Amino acid sequence: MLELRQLTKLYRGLPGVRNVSLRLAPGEILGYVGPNGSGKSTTIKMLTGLINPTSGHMFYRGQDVAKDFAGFKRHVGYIPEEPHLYAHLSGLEYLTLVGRLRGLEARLLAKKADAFLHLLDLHESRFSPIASYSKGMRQRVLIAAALLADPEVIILDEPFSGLDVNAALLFRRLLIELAASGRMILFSSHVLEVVEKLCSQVVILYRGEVVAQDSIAGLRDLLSLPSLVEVFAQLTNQQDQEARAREIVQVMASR
Amino acid sequence: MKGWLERTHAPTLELARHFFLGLFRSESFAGEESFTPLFVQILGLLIAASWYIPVQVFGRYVQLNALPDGDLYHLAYSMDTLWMMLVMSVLIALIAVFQWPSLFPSQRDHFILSPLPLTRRQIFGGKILALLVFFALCIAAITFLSSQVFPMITYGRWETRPYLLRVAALLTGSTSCAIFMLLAAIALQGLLLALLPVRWFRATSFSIQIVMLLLILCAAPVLPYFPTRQLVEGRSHWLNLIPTAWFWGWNEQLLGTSNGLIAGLALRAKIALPAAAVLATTTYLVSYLRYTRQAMESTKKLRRPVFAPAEWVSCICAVPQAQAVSSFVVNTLLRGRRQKLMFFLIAGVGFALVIENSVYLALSGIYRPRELSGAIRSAVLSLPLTLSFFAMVALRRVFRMPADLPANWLFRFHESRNARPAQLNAVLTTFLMLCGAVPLILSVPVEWVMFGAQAIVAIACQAALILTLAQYLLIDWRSIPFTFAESAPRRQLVHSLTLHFVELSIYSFIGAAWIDSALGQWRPLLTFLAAVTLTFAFCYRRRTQEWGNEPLDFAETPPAVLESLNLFTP
Repeated sequence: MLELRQLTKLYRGLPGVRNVSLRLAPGEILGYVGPNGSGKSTTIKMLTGLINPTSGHMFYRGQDVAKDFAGFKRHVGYIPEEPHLYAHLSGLEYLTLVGRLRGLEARLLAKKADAFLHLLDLHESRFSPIASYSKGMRQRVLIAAALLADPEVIILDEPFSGLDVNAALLFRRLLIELAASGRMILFSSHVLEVVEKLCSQVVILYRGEVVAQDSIAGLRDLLSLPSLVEVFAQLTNQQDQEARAREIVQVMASR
Repeated sequence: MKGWLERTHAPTLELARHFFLGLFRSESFAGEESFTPLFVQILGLLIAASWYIPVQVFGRYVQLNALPDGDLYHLAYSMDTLWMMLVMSVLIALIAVFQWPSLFPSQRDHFILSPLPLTRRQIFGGKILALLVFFALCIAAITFLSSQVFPMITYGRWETRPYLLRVAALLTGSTSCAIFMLLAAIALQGLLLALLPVRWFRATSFSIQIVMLLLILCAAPVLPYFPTRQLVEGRSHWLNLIPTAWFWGWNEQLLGTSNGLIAGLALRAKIALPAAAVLATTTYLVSYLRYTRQAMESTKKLRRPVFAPAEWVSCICAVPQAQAVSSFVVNTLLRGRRQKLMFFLIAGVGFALVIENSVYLALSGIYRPRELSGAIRSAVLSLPLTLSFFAMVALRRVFRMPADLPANWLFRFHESRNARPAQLNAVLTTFLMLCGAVPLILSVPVEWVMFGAQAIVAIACQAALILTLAQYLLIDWRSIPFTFAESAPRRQLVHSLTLHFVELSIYSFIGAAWIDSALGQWRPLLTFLAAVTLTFAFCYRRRTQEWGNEPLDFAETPPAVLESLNLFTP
């Protein structure tokens, strides 16, 4: 079980996220959604140790992760929002780098990296620099890197970004398999249709605070709305999008 | 003027502005915000450099004009003119080498500019205009003032030629020479662009840039030894092989000197300049016609590399986390263009110093044979020390040049207290392997020839000094190389140069002299080893005091940026 309790991050006094609490059980895919700037990436960065929380606690298997954050991170696989990779390295070199940083033994690392490159259609380009990869290929490198050390917790920030239809379908199936094998998956995305299909539970974040946390069916029933998109729009006070679109066209045509 | 600059102009002019500013943001120069001061500094440096010779020779011409005969004056005037034009050529070549990647519109320009409503003609027009303005300013800064001042300060009773004629001749010769150098650089890169496939072009072009940079760095300190007197006085036909001398010949011809050699040199200059212009224009035209194809040509999928130094170096490290750091450092150093350029720029100075020392020893007539032998022994002993010093200083500087800051999350995510000391030790090991072991191994044959079996003692002493220097240079080092950027230099340039000069003197010159005295004598050898061991122990203690205790330094995305987006205002 992964649990966040009252997690808060202030940027020079301004709240990035405020009192975020959630629970992620083994075998669960938890959808983490919210508009831009609502604090999704901030929460994920705190979970992955890229930034420190101002207050609050994170527990993994009942232990406060602050006591041994490096130990906790050994169980975490992370796919960041943007495919930021060292572009001068080749795909194989990048996976080797990640595997070594995770302390994988050389032979096992070589075997796993080769298998991942095959399975994710990157084998042909494994010696080419990542700079020459498409966005989808970079995303696949990140997926391989996140899964290389067999993590128990998988944190995904917009993982479908740039993937083609086949790769997206494969990855969707993969997430279901991973959950079925007992992994905990935190799935942050703007694509609510995918969240609706994949996730058992969903957390909706708005202006740094959790405004809803329930199963998708529960949320739909509670608000008497037919889809997650409409639940989301209502909870996050989305303005009249049609009026806004009309306004944009007017500004565009202005002389 | 300010108002004109602030207005929006025709696309070609706007592109010229964009490319012109880009010349100061290239990989060779610093950050984009410092455009105006950087521009002023560059022009100021060039003008100062162009005054170097006139100021140096001022006193000499007072004495020459006091002589009873004018022959020596005329010889000195010709020699100094040739020498001045050589210095100008080196300066222009240096600028052309720094701007080497910007001489033609690049693939990146194509990707960024092609989707905009711009024609290829406008893109090329903008590029040419920007280069014209930039190089015109540089050439004017180098040639204009010195061409006025040199004829003025050399004036005396033996000078019969009118001042304006001498100014015009010198200006014609030096400006034509500078333009020729520039056009030759453009033509060379144009030929590479036209003849090589895209996948080879970048690597070849960059290799040529590095080679030219090293040649210029090595040429600069040996310029004072250039045999201008022998060449000019002896009317040597070797002058025919030196492009700068062609333009010097043109200058002499304009001043009224008439002999076969001068006429030949002037003719060469008059042919070379339009030939270079035609070649540069042709290659630009070819590049213009093939631009889209060149820009869109995809890179081929690469095969397993045969040469894998990153893997070889990382084999030395036992822990996987340390191997990761070591192979990352070597790969980044091998592939990072900015990093390589900076490394060769600084390490090249050390190489140039060694070349200068060798030329000095070879040409020097002031030593008696016995003293010369001692100087050669010292030079051989200081060879690996000087090379390793500059290589280490260069590498430490290059370690601070980030590879890709947003990608640093990988190292931050995987950072752990347990692996940190091993990772930092991997930095030290790689540092020593690249900058200590390589110069030492390269100098073994020379030392063996010079000292025979005693070379073993010499090499052991040099290795001890190299180990100590590495400890000293990595005191306070607390990061994975290439993962952070120093926002401002820790010290002023003059302060750094002075400090490095002192360090080099102690490490290389005094170190080599001490080793020389210790060879074959026990007492100096033991004293040397004791001193080095003590220094090593002190530096080692300082280096490892906090080694791995605190988190590694990484470049952070400043929270101010997030705040400015106003995302978190409730």
